[in-house]
Amino acid sequence: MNIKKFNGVNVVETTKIEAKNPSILIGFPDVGLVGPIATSHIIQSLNMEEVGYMESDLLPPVIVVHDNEPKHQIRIFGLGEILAVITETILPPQAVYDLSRTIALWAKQLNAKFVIGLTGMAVPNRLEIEKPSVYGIGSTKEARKILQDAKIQPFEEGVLVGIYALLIRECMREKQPNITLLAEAHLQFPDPGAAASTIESLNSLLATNIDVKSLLEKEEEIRIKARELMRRTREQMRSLQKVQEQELRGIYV
Amino acid sequence: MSTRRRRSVFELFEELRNQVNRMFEEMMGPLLPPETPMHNVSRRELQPLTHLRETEESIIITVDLPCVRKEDIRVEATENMVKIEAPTRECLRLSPYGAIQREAEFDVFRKTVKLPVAVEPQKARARFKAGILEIVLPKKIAGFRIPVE
Repeated sequence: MNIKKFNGVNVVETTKIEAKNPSILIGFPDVGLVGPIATSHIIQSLNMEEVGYMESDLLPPVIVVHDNEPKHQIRIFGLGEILAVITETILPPQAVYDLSRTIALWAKQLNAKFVIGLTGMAVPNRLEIEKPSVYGIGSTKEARKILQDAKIQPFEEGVLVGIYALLIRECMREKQPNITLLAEAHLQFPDPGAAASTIESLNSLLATNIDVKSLLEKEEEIRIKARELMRRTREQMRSLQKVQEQELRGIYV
Repeated sequence: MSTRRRRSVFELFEELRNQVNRMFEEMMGPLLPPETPMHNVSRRELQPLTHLRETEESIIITVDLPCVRKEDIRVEATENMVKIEAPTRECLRLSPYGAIQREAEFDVFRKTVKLPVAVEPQKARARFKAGILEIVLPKKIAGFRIPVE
């Protein structure tokens, strides 16, 4: 077991991480729960191994029980050059700062190729959209070039609020390349369709071949089971003033 | 001579209780359910996620209703309230999770939404697409035009 201590957050690697330049996927609850739904599907599809967890006194006193086994709230999975960080609990706003800083520092230490945030972008007309589009933000020139090569549309103008915004900021501070994928999604409801679109974009980005058919087949089941998490995420998004993302306040003319 | 009144044990206890409550709320605030649980096992009902938004003329309610057929949805509206009832296509068996460690079955979504302003229920319209119900309720008084002099 390898414990790496950062600002108020410990990254505990229970299995040695052998990856040389991993891409680290981040799936935290946010718009449409796109991150946790997509990341959980990726972990299951690739049969990724649980390789560690993150712990902090800033996190609420929660333990997740899965298959009668207690698990940490923020878990790390790995397979080859892909790592995934996932949580299905709500992160309190005071923990979000230290956590995103930790992820950026840890990624830098691992010599990660990219930290890849998977999330949603609330669109008011989501009901009219059959297949959600995915937009990408790259924190470096190289990241933007890779997004362009993967034919992922750029997120041209706007504001991001919340943990994915902080992740970009901390990655920029640490000079750790970051890519954030934003799928058009329902703000208020779990959106497995948006998660599927995100995975398809990720497939072209990482040259993986993760099937989304089974995810779309389970769409209704996911929407029923994720209601409570979505409700709590909505509360958190309200406290983080997520609504700012919907404002049109361009200053560049 | 000091003028400070000595506090009774009850007052001290009350203060301590308030302090503990405050600490508990600060610690557990993000964990406490914002409303009641979203299911009722004995009534076999689930509460759907709903969202209410207001435009100048209308109140628009969207309701997430997976596993539901359009023809089974029942919406009743008054001036101040909307009731939604939607039986599921089939009985939903949820495996043990959280407070439900026995397998639980659900067969209906139910939700009553209180409206922030009076509406004209007879002019309401609804549509159901991709498992999401959207109800548009025109406001009773959409607004008076004020002449500008």
